[in-house]
Amino acid sequence: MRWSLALKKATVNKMLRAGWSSSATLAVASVVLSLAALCLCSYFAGASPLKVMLSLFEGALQGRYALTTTLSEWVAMTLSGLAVLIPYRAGFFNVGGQGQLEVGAVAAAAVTLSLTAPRPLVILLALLAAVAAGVLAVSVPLVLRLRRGASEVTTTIMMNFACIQFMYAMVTGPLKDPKSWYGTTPPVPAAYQLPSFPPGSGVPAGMWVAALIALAAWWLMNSTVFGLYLRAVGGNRTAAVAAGIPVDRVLTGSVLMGAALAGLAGGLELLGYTFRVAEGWSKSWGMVGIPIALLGGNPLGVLAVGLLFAILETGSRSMQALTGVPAALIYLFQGLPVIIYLGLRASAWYSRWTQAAR
Amino acid sequence: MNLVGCRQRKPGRDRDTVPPGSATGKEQEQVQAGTAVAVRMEGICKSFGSVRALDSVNMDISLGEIRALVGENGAGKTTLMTILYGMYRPDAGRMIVWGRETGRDWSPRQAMTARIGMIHQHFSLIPNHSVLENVLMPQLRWTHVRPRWHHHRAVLERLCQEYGFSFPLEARVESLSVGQQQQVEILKLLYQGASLLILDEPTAVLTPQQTDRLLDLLLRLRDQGHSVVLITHKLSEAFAVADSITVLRRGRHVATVARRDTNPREIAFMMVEREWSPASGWELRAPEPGSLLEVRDLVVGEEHRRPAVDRVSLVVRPGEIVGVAGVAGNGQTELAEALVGIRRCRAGRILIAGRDATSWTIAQRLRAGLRFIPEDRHLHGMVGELSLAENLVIDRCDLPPFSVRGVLRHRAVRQAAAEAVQHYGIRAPSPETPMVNLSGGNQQRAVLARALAGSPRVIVACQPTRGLDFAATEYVRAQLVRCAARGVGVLVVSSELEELMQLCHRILVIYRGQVIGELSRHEFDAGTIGLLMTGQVPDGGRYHGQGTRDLGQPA
Repeated sequence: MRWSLALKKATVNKMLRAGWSSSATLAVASVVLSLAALCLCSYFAGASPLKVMLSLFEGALQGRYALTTTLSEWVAMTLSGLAVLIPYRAGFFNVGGQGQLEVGAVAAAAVTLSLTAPRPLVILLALLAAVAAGVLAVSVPLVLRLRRGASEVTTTIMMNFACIQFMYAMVTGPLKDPKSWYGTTPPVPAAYQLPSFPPGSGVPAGMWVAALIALAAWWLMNSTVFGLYLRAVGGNRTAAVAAGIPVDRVLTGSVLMGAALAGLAGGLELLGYTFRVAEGWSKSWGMVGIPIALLGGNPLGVLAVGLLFAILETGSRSMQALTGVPAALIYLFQGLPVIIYLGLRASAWYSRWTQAAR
Repeated sequence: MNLVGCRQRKPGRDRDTVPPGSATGKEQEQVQAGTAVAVRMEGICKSFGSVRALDSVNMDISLGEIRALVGENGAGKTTLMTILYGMYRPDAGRMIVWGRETGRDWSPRQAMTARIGMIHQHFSLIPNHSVLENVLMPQLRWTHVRPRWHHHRAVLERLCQEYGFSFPLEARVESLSVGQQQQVEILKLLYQGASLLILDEPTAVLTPQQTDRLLDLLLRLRDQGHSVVLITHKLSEAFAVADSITVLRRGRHVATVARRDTNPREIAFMMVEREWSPASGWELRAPEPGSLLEVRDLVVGEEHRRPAVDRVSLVVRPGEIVGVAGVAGNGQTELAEALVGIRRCRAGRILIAGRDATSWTIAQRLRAGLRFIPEDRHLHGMVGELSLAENLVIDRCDLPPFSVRGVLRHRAVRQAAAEAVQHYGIRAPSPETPMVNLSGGNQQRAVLARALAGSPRVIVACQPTRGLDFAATEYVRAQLVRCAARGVGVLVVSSELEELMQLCHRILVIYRGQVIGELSRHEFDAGTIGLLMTGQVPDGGRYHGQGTRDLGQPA
């Protein structure tokens, strides 16, 4: 009896250790630590941390308008998180999510503004155009990487500039709203805007799309041959080659998938949330996708972290209004957890724990 | 001006009056007044995670002796010496160097100041710097705006002459042979004034002739009053030069004995805890006629360069184990990689079971039954982040029963993994454990399990037992022999002659990309093979043992 109890205790200990050493625990710990840092900062800014936290979450979740905004942000953040995560797992660090997202939105805008057809058809075509634009934007870095071995980090960052300038050229040129005094497209016709689903609830239809895609990505990564190949290629490229895996094809597939999702994010944001592409229309969704992917670690994690980041993004405005703490503080939060996460993982303390868990 | 070589705090600096590197001045008196012990290590303990690498090890190194430190892989030899050199800090124990106890802040820098030098298995030279720069670098400081190169060159040339090193000081290190690079390392230590030299497996990369030269050099160093610690697992070397031998086993000190009081058999027994049976012992079945793997005039390497593999032809028959012997870097790795399809061939043909496979992809060759046990499992053999189960099926997970229309069947994968774990004795907490969390031996077992799964027809095994302990080595070799007995053709590339002589029906010797010799089992002779490995062919042309003349030539 006592023996079996001891055994149980050992098992529990082992599980605890394994839990500690998993990256999910680290991600949660770093998010909590970052929130604590946020509290500390707001304390120094002269506000009560409790009030700051309350205003943050109330501002994001209380009331229909706030909730709709948060969910719309969630769509963009989840999809751009996946746009980084999927290629990242295959060993391609796609930093160009922002550019892919913006050209995606431009393409979707062009379709909705130039076509007249039944609503579902136009929306579908617009989203397909957004996907195609994202894929097009990543094709240059991808080909350079496959053919010439160019670092995709450099090339995708550079493509960001090109894409954003292209967006500016479009909204001040061919797609410019003649009635506007600044560079913007005309609003997407009301008939072609994304409805909320269930109708009238205010929940953006894009949210369901994003959630379904995240689930599908999770299944793809864990339960398909392609997913296993993808993780093998990202984990050890040379070993994947030696195992006969078509490495370049897997890499191409994952990168195109990621870019397609970034483009789709642009299209969904345009049709469901901003309705215009304009100078400075977009938040840095594509960029925030990077910390979301790194912290999330898997598609479901991306979904969760994306929600948190969306809440903070939306809540920051009411936080500033109610407590006087600058909303910019939230941007601190977008980087801090990743730094803490990486710091924790690199620490000797962590490696001791993982070794003990072996 | 504070110039190189003129700094005061390093003892043994003044080369005009004192032979380089020997213990000097006050410290020497101290040491000689005592027991002539250069270094004393007491109760050294060191753990890595839950692994006990060293368990209260004691060791004394006397002045002017060559000490061989022997033991199996993972016995703690290197760990003990890196502790002495200050790269690791012991968990417990103390060290007395030249009669003075080391402090908590003992570091390689302090060790160097105390005239202890270590040459690691992987050289710490900068390939595109000259010999002179490499040797001086540890002593240059950023304040030395214009080092007095000519002065140092003169000193170094004298040293080179004294020890018979024959490389020009201006030569880039990358242009030197491995043996010469090792001499550069030794020169570096001598120039720093080291009088205790630690060499970690120095002969692993050398030809037999280079090895002899190195061992001679060690003897001369000893005669000049240096102490040398030779870390090795080759008993022949230990017995050739050492004055005394220390045996470690699983992190414990087993014995330190004078060479004249012991014999190799006794030491081997201490190392492995059981009677050691010398090579042979396998019953090899005669190969069947036909060919499973045939290579015709294969050329591998970049265009416009000397090919790494130069017109190699060979045949592996069903049930035959063919060995490829050679000093590392003579094209054997490239040959193996070209065979499995990782490397492109420039010319020549590869036939697998009679079918031309030259232009096949890696996957096609896998399907045809060609399997690969890579030299570097971390590079080519495993994906550390994936689980053991996933690693075991990764090369055939696109086939049923492991997947149906691209969707994985987790149950089939898990079942295959469980079978492999049982059959190959892989020790892992569960099949879901990430591969990186397994020990090296178990990782190699997993690599082996994957290579032998399904129905292999030809196995290309590169250094299949590198880094494995005694038991795992025996296991891997037995598996290869068992495969051959089932009619599989095996090509073994190994730098360990003993392994090849134990396993193979035939041995091909490769030198500068060409097969320059071929011996069948009854003619195996370490001397002949060693000579061939250095490119010296007894009667010119390609060397054939008797009766093998037609075997290696494709029809």
